[in-house]
Formats: sequence, structure tokens, C-alpha cells
Amino acid sequence: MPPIFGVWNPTEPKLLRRVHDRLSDTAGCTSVRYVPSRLDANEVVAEIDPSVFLGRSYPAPEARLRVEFDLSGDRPHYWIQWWEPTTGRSIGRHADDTEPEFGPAHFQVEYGDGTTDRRVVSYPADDHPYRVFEYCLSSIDDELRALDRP
Amino acid sequence: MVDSWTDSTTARERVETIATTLSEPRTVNWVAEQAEVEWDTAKRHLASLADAGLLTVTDDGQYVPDPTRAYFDHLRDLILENERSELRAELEAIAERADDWKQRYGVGSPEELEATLADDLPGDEVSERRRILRRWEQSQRSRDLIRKALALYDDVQSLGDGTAERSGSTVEEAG
Repeated sequence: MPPIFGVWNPTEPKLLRRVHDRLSDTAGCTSVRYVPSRLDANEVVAEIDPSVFLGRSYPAPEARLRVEFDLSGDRPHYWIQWWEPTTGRSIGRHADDTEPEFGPAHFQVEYGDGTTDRRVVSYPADDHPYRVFEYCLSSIDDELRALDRP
Repeated sequence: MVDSWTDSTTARERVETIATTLSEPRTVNWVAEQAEVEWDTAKRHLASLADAGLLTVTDDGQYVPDPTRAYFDHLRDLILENERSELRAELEAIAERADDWKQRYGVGSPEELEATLADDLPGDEVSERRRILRRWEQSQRSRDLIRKALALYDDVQSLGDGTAERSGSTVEEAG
């Protein structure tokens, strides 16, 4: 992040610690860890047992949740991604500069066949990154149900 | 099912999470909205966090993490939560990661990697290099802090030892 009053503030490590602790206390999250390491954390990764996490039967036996923030620019960037290794499917919210036609943040679905869908997300771009993380965490079930509807 | 944030935390925890990880000064209104609490609840907890030195209040009444406090708290945590050998091992791991990136991209520094973004590269490759650049810069910040923590390690640990010795002698004198 840009320095506040000229001093570098370790906000990203603090945010990642909050995310790590939250996922460690969430049912269905196993092996919650910092990547590449606890002392040089860039992201938090959790292995997921989907049926426990979602509280319902689910076709994929395992999933992985990845959370990363970048506060170095003018506005927060983040990547919050659910990935299923057995199906190759993933869903995620990204706030970065890669898809400017979708605005400051977009929702992205990658299917097992390699195709990708993107859409604009409607929550305010001004939201705090941790609040965005909580919103994403609680909306994973709805997003997956929407994908699985015929 | 995931418990909602408001079900799994107290109002104070939510205000603290938002307020201590702000990137810029914010109003009570904004923090209250983000933490999903009433204005007066946010105000009370923000004032308490400012009294404790975690936040500072700007001239126009907005709150922001006290940068000096956050920096030294981070250093203190590095020293008290890690063995010296763990800090040294992390420095080695950071150096190895940097060596891998130097080799992979044929560059000598993050600045040189950033310069390659101007090359005619596919979109995916640009995204990947940006990601590596982010990680490299973060690693450098981690490295600098770990070095500072190691430089202060003995002094800070001895303060703790001194406290233990003093309380020990008090017990002995009392006994």
C-alpha cells in the first residue's frame, strides 16, 4: 500500500492473518496455510471439503480457496478464487486491471473445458477488502448453485 | 454452511478488523457501514482503539492505523513469535525465490522485470509477470523487516528475560 504519513504500514500481512484465522475457524476448511510462507505471505490457501463447507452433498470431492490482496496501488486489488481440481472448474472475484471493460472488479467462471465467462460485479468498488472477502465467502454456495442449475 | 460475519464475530471485532487494516483515513460512517454496526457503536470502538494507540485521528476527524505503532507491532511479533533460526531460514528462502525469478526471466531485480512488461508479450504472460513482480516486491519488504527483527532480536528478548528475572526475584524475596 502507499505509505500512510510516509511510513510503510504492514496492512497486507495483517489482512491475510485475519483471513487465515477466519478460514481456520470455518467448517470444511482444512490445511489453511500462507503461501509461499507464513513470514513472507502473499496469499492464504485453504483445502476445502465441499460437502462440509457447503452443508450439502456436492459432486466435487475437494476444492481449494485462494485469497490474495494487493494494496500497493491507488485502489485495492484482490483475487478470491474457488477451484475444483477434479472438475477443473473455478469461480472467483477479481479486482485488478486485467479486464478493464468489466470495471474495477469482475466475477469470473472458468469451466473444465477451458472456456471462461466474466461478468461485472455490483457491490461498491470502495468496499474494504476484508468486507469483500466475507461477502465472497458467504456467497460461494449461491454462485455454485447458480452454475449447477439446468 | 459458512456462518455470516455478523453471526461469527462481535461488533468490536468487526470494527477492529476494518479499522486496523485501513489503507487511508476513513470516517466513522464509512467504518460503521463496512463493519455492519451502528454509528455510535463504531464511534465508541474507534475511540477506544485510538486511546489504545492503534489508531490515530486526522484533523478532520477520520481514523487511520497509527503507522509507527503498526510497524513496531509487526517487528515485535516477528521477534516474539519466531525463533532466530526460523527468521534466518526465511531469509534464505526469500533469497532462493528471488534467484528463481532472476533465472526464469533473465533479470537482476524487480525493476528489470517491470521493464519487461513493455515488451510485446501475450496477455497471460503480462499478468503472470505482474503477479511475480508483486510477490518479489512483497518479499523484499518481508526481507527488510526480518533483517531488522534479527538486528533487534537479542535486545527485545533480553527485555522479556529481564521481566522474568525481576518477577522471579520478587517471588524469591516474597518467599
